[in-house]
Amino acid sequence: MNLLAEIGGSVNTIGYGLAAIGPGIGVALVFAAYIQASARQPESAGYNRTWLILGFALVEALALFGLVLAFVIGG
Amino acid sequence: MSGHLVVAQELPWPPSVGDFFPPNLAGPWVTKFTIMVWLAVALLIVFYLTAYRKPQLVPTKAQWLAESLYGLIRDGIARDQMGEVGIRFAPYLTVLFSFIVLTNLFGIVPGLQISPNSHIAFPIVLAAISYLLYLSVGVRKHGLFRYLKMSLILPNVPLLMHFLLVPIEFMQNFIIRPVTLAVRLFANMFAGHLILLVFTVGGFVMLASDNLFVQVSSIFAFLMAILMTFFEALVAILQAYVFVVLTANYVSTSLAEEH
Amino acid sequence: MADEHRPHDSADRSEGVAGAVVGYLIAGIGGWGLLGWLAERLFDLPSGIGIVTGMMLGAAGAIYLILRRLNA
Repeated sequence: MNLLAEIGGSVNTIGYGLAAIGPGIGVALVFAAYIQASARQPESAGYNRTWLILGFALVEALALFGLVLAFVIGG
Repeated sequence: MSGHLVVAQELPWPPSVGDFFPPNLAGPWVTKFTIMVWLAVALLIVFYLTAYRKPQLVPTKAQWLAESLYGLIRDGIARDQMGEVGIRFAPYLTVLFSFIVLTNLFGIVPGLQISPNSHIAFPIVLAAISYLLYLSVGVRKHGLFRYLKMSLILPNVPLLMHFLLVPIEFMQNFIIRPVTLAVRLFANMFAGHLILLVFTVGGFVMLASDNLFVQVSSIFAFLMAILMTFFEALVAILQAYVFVVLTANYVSTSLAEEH
Repeated sequence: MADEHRPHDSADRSEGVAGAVVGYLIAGIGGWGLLGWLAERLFDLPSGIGIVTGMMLGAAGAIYLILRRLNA
């Protein structure tokens, strides 16, 4: 007896939803580290800002890859 | 399996895009949204005109309200973003802010209960006006060729890298900025209205079911609807503020001196 | 009253930086992804390679531009 499971509807959206979990947590970690560091030592806030923006951009790039591929790869 | 529950009366469940299109009132041109935009424009004109009809040194209540709103935008946004040259943009920014706050708050006013900004057309027009504003300010100040050079080419970059960077700069400056202005406002209003629909109509659907436990827990749906209404008010004012601040920022980068 | 509470110029304000970061990322990934996809259509490359190369190049360029914008 053959059992067949199938996901109907838009699988692209399910894929993007799963792919957005990682960058969501990642961006929160980056900003949490910046907030903690600035709270402990406020004079380092200016120096840390470069790393904040770099970290946010790298993590967000992955989320945007997922968004673009969800629209482009036909399904 | 489409997920429809069997209910006694016909409730619009699950909420869909069709719920965003109320019936036409008088021909295809006059809908609920038309009346709402006219109402917002009329309210703004009446408020600002009567508040300043006979200005006094010790202000009346309406005059004080209008002056505080204008002062907030002029000091907090125009002067902060653009310096002293930004004062001449402050009236446009004040009206833009008041219009967006009013049309966003229509989403929670009983009777109206939908914001015109949840149709993409209205944020598109607002973003297009801001787009033309910062383009024309930049071109008028620097001349067309120098404005393009200033916004597309960075100093101290090797020539080969420019092939990679100029498309990105072009898209960011001339395409992504107005598109994200419009889409940010539209998506927030659309999502907010959809959330309110889910909780309110869902509460009624739960109330109409046969199970007693489901009927009692429909009170949580209504409680969430009340909380989300307060959240909607916050989002309405915040989105208007973000729109105006970003417009002021784009105008200030058009006005900035060369590197 | 001196402007001691203002950041240096318009390029350093937090709204400007936030708008720049998101804008450069979307423009870089989207724009170069589009160019890569067009190259794939025109030059008949194996499926998928054009758009991925485009997106990587676009992301690299966008991050380079963000860092230049911050340190300038």
